[in-house]
Amino acid sequence: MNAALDACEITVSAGEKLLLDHVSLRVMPGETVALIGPNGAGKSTFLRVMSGELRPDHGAVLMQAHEIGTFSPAALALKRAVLAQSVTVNFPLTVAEIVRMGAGGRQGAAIDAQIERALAAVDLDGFAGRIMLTLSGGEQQRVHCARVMVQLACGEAENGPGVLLLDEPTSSLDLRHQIELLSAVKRLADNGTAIVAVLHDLNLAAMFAQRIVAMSEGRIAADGPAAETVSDRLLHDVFKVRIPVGRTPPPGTPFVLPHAAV
Amino acid sequence: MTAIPVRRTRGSASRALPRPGAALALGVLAILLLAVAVVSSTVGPAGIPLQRLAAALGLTQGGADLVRDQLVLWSVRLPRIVLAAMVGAMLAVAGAVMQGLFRNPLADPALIGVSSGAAFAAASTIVMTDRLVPLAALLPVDLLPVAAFLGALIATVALYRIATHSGRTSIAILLLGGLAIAAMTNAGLGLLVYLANDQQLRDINFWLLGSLGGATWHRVATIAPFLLVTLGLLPLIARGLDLLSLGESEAFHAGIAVERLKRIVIVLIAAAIGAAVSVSGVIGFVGIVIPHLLRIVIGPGHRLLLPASALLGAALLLAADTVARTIAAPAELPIGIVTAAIGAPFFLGLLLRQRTLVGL
Repeated sequence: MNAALDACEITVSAGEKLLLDHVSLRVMPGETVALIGPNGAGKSTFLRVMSGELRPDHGAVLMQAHEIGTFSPAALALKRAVLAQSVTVNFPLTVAEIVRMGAGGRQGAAIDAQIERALAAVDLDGFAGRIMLTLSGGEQQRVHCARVMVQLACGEAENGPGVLLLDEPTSSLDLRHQIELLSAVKRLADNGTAIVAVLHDLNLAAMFAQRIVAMSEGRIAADGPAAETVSDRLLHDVFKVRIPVGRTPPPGTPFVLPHAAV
Repeated sequence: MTAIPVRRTRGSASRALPRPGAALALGVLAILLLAVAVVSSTVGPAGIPLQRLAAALGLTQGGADLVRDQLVLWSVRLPRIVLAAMVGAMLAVAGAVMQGLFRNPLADPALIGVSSGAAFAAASTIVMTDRLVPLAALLPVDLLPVAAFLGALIATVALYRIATHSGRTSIAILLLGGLAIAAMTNAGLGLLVYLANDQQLRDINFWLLGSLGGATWHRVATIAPFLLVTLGLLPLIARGLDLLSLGESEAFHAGIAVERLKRIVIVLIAAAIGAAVSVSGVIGFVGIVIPHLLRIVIGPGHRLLLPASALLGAALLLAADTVARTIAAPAELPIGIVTAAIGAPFFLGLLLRQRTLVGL
């Protein structure tokens, strides 16, 4: 099977400083990957490279066996979507208008139904006519999630399942909506979409992702199934904290409770 | 990993916004423009009553005043009406597009130094023409709008470079940077005033206050290509500007060629402002008032907002010019004074209502 996303030997530097140092990551269709690591580890930079927004100094990102630089922005938008940490809108756009932007100018009853489904998936049905500026930060984030889901659905209709990149998607959400958003994203993975999410919350990462990739100082420090990757050693070596990792009752998902450290 | 289903919030949340359709909105605005043009044709020091207007336009049989009416209408009033409408359309569209580029409803070309850049370039051309007469006479095109276009282009590019860093725009830096550019061009204009002879001085004053007094068919023809370019580019950028309102990264993620879009947008702003300034001087606040009013009524989607801005900008600037030339007739108020008197309080009100946009 072809990888959905294949980042090979990515190197990015800013002046003298190496932000990414020969980082490689292969993500299969339907796989859920959480990128974790301390601040400044290069997670967001890596995500920007994988989205095609930042051209690496060295290395290449392949999507469906083509280098992403060879796609036009419009073609690329049908293969991958990106949900950023926060997006501000200064014009009085309605929720429906923003979600519709995911459709890339496509119109019709199918798109209308798609928009309705996406809004329902993020628990916002009934919000279509509301002005974006009047919503809370968490609600706005869910609107953008719905927009991105519409974009993925349009891409899937033309190219098959694509890639979804998320940068800290849950940071403005309350607990219920953190869980709901990640569940909705996971359902996309069940349909074959490859997911790479930068997550700060290790517990959410361990619950959400099949695979955890830990980054540190521009390199990949650990890569493997959540149950094996989140360990006492990782917390010590990568996050520089001395906290024992706990385990839930079976299936034994690891969790981190910073009780002794504060 | 599931959340407990919670009852959905409905009720007031499902209230949809009533927004008029595109055809209705553009139709109403076109009728408004036509109505203002008819009124504007009839009033003035040499009045042409409505029934004589039809005759002067060749629609009905004329009476005793036909020759005089036709002269006034075709050589004085119509060129001015057409020019005012063209300038109003370009100013309003440039404002709407610039607000889209900077993702903020407070950006206005006259407010942030772009019009000053165009006026400075135009005034420099006037003063220098004396020394460059042999050269200028060789050129097949009118130098003034081209110079104003280049002045506006340089100011816009400079502002973009100053206010936007890695895809993010700071509205505070934008306004302050615009202030600095306006200050520099005003210093330049001051120097030109010092260097200018009497005739040139009168011409430069015309730029500083803004006026449509010198309207001729020649001026209409000179800026017509700029208007056509401006309007012709609008369909290419409407969807891009919609997505740009989410941010440059988000627009790229959603499939917009952002760099290409920005280049088109900057050229469009410079063409519209350069042409408008070259025939009418610096007329402020049209670019901020018109798009703002329209966003309230028809929403911020650029596919409709941009052509609607052109129509309403044309109608309102024509109305303002009609007031400017009749209120103290036979003397004329510079139209820049009229638009500033209406627009500046409007801008302050906007600022107070939307403090969050400037980070307060």
